[in-house]
Amino acid sequence: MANFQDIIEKLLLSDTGDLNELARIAGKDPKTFYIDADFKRCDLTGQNLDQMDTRYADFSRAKLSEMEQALWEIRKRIHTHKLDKNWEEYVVSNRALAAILNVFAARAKGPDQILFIQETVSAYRAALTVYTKDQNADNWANIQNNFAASLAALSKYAPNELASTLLEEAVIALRAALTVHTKSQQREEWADLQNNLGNVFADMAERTPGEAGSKLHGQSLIAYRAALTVNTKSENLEQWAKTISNLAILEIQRAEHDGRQDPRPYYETALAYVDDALTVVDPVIMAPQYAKASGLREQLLKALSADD
Amino acid sequence: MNDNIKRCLKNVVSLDGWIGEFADEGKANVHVDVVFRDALFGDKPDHTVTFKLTLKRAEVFLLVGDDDPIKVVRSTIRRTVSDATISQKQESTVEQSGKARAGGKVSKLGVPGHASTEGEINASKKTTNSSKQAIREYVVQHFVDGANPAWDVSRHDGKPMGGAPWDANHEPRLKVKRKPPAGSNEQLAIKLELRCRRQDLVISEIAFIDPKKKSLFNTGKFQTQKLVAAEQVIKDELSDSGLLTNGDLSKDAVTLLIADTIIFEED
Repeated sequence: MANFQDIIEKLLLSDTGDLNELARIAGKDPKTFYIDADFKRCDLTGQNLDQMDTRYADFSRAKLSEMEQALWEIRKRIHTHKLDKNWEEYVVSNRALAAILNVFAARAKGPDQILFIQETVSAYRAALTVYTKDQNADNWANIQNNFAASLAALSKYAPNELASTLLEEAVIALRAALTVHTKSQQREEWADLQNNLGNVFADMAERTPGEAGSKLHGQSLIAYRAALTVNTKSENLEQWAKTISNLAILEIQRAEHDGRQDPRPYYETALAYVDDALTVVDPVIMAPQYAKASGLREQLLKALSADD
Repeated sequence: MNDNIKRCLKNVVSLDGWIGEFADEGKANVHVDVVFRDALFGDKPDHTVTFKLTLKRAEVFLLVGDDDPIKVVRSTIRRTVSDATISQKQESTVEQSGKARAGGKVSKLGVPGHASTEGEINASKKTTNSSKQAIREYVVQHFVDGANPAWDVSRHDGKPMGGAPWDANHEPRLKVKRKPPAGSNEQLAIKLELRCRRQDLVISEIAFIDPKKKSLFNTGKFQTQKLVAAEQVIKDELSDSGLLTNGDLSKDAVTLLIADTIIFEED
């Protein structure tokens, strides 16, 4: 076995600052090597600490963005709560982790973004190993909804077969949530779930050719229409506009499904939805919805003129 | 090499003590003398690197077995949170003025803690408060390990420890008394241990002894990352030196036995 002073010499004279690589130079497993490391003065920018157990490590004052710091603190807490079998806190921390990861995912690009979404899925999945419908119905349903959203987000980066599996799991999660958030008891939540269900079916349809794809379009349409029974123009204009936009997009998908010979009726239906939205959506107060509807209108007019 | 690193670990603290005279109703004070120090590695010809070892937290255990001829008088265990304190006189002036009726709580400026008054301020007056504020250098917290009394010691500011956390002469840890039959001539002894969690070892000032290598490192990149890795190698070496009391790093915090000694009744 090498003298520890020789190992230190190798480390200090090496050309790398990568903590994983340094652990390997020391002949140690990077997963456990830094378990109680003092990172107080260390520059951790760009380090990949994903697989490292840093349970007892000190990150105070380490050069790390505040969000990254929060991420590591939460990961540490999750680990500790799991060891302590403190399941309530374990769920709380996993939900907090997922919330931060969502922010990171929205900012990141490429492989990093996929990694963040994957971890979000894992965090919700972990939370669902603790919460049950019987004991924590409301929270359980909320997590199911968020879990479905993260699965759907991940499916966008997955090859067809895996994407279908992820989306099917998302449908199961949303249907599970719908057993708690019912129309009679929690109308708004129920409508949101229906809207999300419509989105997932639409995503599935986009990847599914032929009759099966058409059926999925139909399921998406049913879900969106269900959402509109609660999210009406008069009661909840914002949510109504969101679902109307989704319906317009669905009609565009239907128009382009399987190289359809006569897409015109679908484009026209989509345009009717968009025009309806534009008559009531305020361009200042609901600027994002207005911009989205305007963009869709432009796209639809172009498609219709090309079809002439 | 193991002996060298063991010596370094032993040098980080001096542990001593004594059992006082059995005077007060057959009870005797137990004095524990702990002094934390900087332990330096790198003074031997075969050493190529130097570093400093200090502790930022430690636990002192006083081990008295059921079969021992003495027992701890539990009411005498020193339990105060802050032992080593420096008294400082702090002057503060509180001004109260006006005749307005205050509906909420009005905090008195300058008074530490949560002092507050509620109600009417009737007259303008000026008062001067004098208070003694304890500045805690060490936080010493008593706890029980099984039946054994123990003290958790750390600095109030979380920095590495140096010096004595309490006055061994004037602040005995507890009293013991003989179990019957009294008057036995058996020599009394108590075992002391000082333990520390692995994450409370502070390795600093790692450097090459060779000036060329020292310069190479000092002018090179990624110094902070390399030093963290080197610190971990040293901690591993200290942990491997056979002083573990709890050694499964993957499951729980590793605890190292830093020093132990047996103290006797004074002649």
